[in-house]
Amino acid sequence: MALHRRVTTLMLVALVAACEQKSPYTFGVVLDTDGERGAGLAVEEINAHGGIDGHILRLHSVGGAASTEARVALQTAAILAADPNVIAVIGHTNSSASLSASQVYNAEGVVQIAPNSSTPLYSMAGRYSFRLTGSDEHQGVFLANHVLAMSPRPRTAVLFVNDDYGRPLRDVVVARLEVGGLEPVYDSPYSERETDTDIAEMIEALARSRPDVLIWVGRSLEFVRIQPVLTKALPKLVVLASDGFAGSALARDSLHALDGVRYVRLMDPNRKDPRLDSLYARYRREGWPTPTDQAVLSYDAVLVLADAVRAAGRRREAVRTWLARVGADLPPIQGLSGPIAFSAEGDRLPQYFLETIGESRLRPAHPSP
Amino acid sequence: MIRLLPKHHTLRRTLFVSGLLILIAAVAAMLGSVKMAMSQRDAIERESNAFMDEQRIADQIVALNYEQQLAAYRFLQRPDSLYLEVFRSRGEQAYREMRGYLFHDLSPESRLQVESIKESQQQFEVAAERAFDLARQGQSAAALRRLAGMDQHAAALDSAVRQFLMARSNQRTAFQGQHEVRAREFAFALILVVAGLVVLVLILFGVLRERVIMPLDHLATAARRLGDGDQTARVPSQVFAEFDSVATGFNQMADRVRQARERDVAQNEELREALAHLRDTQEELVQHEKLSAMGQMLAGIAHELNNPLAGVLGMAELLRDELSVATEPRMRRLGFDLAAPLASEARRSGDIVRSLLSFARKSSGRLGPIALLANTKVAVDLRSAAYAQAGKKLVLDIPPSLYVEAEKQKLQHVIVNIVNNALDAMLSGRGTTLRIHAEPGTGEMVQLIFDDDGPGFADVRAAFEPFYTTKPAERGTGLGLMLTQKFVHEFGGTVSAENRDGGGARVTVALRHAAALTTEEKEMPPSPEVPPPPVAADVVPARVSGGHMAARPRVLVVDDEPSLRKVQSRILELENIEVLLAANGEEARDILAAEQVDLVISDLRMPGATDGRGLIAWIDVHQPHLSSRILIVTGDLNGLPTDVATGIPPERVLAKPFTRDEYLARVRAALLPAH
Repeated sequence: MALHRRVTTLMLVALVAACEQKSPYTFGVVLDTDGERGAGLAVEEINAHGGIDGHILRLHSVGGAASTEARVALQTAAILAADPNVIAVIGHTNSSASLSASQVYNAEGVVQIAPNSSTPLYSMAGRYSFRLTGSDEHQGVFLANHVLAMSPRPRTAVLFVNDDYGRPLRDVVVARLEVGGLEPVYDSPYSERETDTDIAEMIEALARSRPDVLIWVGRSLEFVRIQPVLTKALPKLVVLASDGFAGSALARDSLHALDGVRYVRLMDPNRKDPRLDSLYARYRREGWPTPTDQAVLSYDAVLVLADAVRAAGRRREAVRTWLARVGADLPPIQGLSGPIAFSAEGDRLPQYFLETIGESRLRPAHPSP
Repeated sequence: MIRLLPKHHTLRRTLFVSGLLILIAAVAAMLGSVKMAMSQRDAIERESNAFMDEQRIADQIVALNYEQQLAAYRFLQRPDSLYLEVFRSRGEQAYREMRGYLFHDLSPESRLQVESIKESQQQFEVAAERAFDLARQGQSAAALRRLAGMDQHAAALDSAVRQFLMARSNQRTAFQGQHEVRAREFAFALILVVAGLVVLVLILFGVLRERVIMPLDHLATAARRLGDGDQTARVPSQVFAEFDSVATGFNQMADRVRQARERDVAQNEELREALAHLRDTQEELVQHEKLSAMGQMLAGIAHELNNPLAGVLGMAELLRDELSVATEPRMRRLGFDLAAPLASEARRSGDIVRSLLSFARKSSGRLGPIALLANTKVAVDLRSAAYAQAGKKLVLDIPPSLYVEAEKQKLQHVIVNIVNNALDAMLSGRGTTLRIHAEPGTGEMVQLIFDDDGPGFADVRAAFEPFYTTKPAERGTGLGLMLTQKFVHEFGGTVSAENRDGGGARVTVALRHAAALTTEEKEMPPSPEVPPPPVAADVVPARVSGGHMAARPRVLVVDDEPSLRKVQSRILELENIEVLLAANGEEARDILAAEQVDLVISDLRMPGATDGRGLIAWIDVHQPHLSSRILIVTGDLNGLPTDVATGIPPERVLAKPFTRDEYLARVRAALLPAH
């Protein structure tokens, strides 16, 4: 009898606790696996500390995050924007998708924080569009300056993915090179659709121009496809890649085929921050690959939105207003990637680091010039 | 709405509220219309701009793509850097157009289509660049093989553009449909607004009509009726305080006007009556003055006639008496045929003059018992000659014992007026007789009735109205019967007129009955005109015996008329009375101073310093033993002094003309020793 009474009491307490639990806060995420891990760890940590004002935080993830196709991005954005529980969206994975989706979010009044979308056009996407990286107007200059700093001036080729990410960035790089007196010996687009690019023909054409440096404005998955042919044709070629090079392909490069490739990082992976160390430790404990910039920036995106909701409430417009004040009349938010503040266009102040694959998986990056 | 308004709302408030409602409705309708129009205009403009932009972009993209494709194919045919430049520049332009367009507010479908175009163009560019690589390497065959891939992407691009254009066309069609729907809705809304405004205006007009126009109309109608003299014109109570105040004020004004009008009417009536009374009084006064003047004139005439009449009468009687005792039959015949009638006519003339004097005597204004027969006879005697001359008869049938309450002169005026009127009426040719008779009436009234057989009254009701007459202007004033009525009313009686059934007129004078002469009346001295005890005309006076008189009385006769002195002397001498004669007062005084007389017979009015009164006064002073032996013979009864003033008793007054018997009777009475 006493046991029965105790069980009943516990059930009532649980029921009351359940009734008293506040409705959860939801952030939409359109990230690849690495990004979702970073965001998920941030949510886990926040909820471990009681959530946001008693509201637990959860993520609403929609598939197709890795696609660069506009159709997929638009459909995903429409789904998330239509969900009234979604306070804000973290994503999308790449610049092309983020740019396409941004118009949906701006039309529906949903805050979008793109962790690593860097296309210059995103600065014009709208007032609901924020990002945790700078515009490629700066990255292009950074890449070109790095080449221009080489002596003697290398013969430079440019291969760029012909989408909203690669095309504007290539324009900045080439314009800066030309300003520096360096005209690319080869300058050609490629498509991420495998059928669209005859790798052999492209490499043959590239090799025929005998470049010393290849500026790869694209992602690593495609580079992995051409890398064997390219190495065979141009064994001494120095490859300098944009920030899109970071990604899961690096983690899968078990043969170290990408060693020697220099690529732009959007954060200093070695910066001294216990939270960052804790994140790394967590990754190691979980047996996950080293977190990419997108993972850390996604983690920071959750922190930023949590602070906004905590300060301004869950209303979408209130969140946007509060974010627009960060860096203006509100102090920068200390993220794992460093201080976060937004320009009037919603861009983060740029910081670039250059990492050479293979020399050390996590060797100190070169600070941006 | 109208009935819901409470009573006595102010017009200003209602008009303000109504106007405000209409203004609000009009402003709301205008704003709504403007907003709808602007919204529609903005929508159309936005949609039009979007269509234009999209069309421009589509056109540009299509053109750029075609130019890009053309440059690509040309480059592949002849690798010229110019074509490559055109290829890349066109591609860059197309990309920027699409990228910029994607920042517009697009539907998901449009956005996806543009994204598809963009991706197709990007893939076409990649395929073209691969072919360019081959061409630059001189691998023309390989390059041409790449054309297939280029064509595929070009076809995909073309398909995407077509889909985009088709979608835009569909959207344009849908928009046009929406625009038409909006236009219809707008038109419907406008109709509703206009209808609502019309209803509001109609309601306001109804309110204005019922609460403003109608009250004003009522007010105007009432004012017009009041102006036309309708004193009952009033304005009903109104709803609006302003009109109700005006209506109340109007009604109060109308009440005051009515009261003022009634006062005016009453005052006018009073004035009219006062004026009529004044006119009556004036006419009456004139009539009185005329009557008074006539009385005075009659008195003068009578006086002047009485002296010669007295002479004629005396002489005729003396002549008659002398001839009657003549020895010759012829002389006696002359006395009978001529002298006696002469005396008789002279006596009748004297009666007529006496009646005239009685009629003309000034009214005493005092009511008293009046012998109806005697006073009626006085009046009748005045008009009997006129009746006889006109061939009409005057019949008098009044008991001698009837006395009425009246004033003598006025009663005679009344009778003369009625007698005159009857004669005038009968002079028209119809009617022959006026019968005057009296009979006791109801109560204590006596009715004096005048019946004639003349034409009767033309309008009986107007008979007593002032100035009503049917006579010619020179014969009547129309005041006779009016004065008759007035005098009878003063007596406390009534007078009425009617037409007799058998023809003719009847005037009935009802007078208060006075049973007989009161003690006071009896004790009053007899009126001077009351004739002395009648002496039969045919009685020969007895000679004065010595036993009744002094041995031979001596009488002084004072008269300025020689004929009268002669007649009196003859009469007295025939009675063996010594007569001394004096032509005036001075001679009489001289005679009295020198001679002893037993009686003084004197005229009253005589020329000279001492008339009859002066002589009486002198005798009272110088011969007081004769003060009771004075006999006054006068033709002026109106000028006769009263007994109170002169101390002459009325029986010592003898009116001219007189008969011998009357004269001797007074003389004898005066010579009696008791006197």
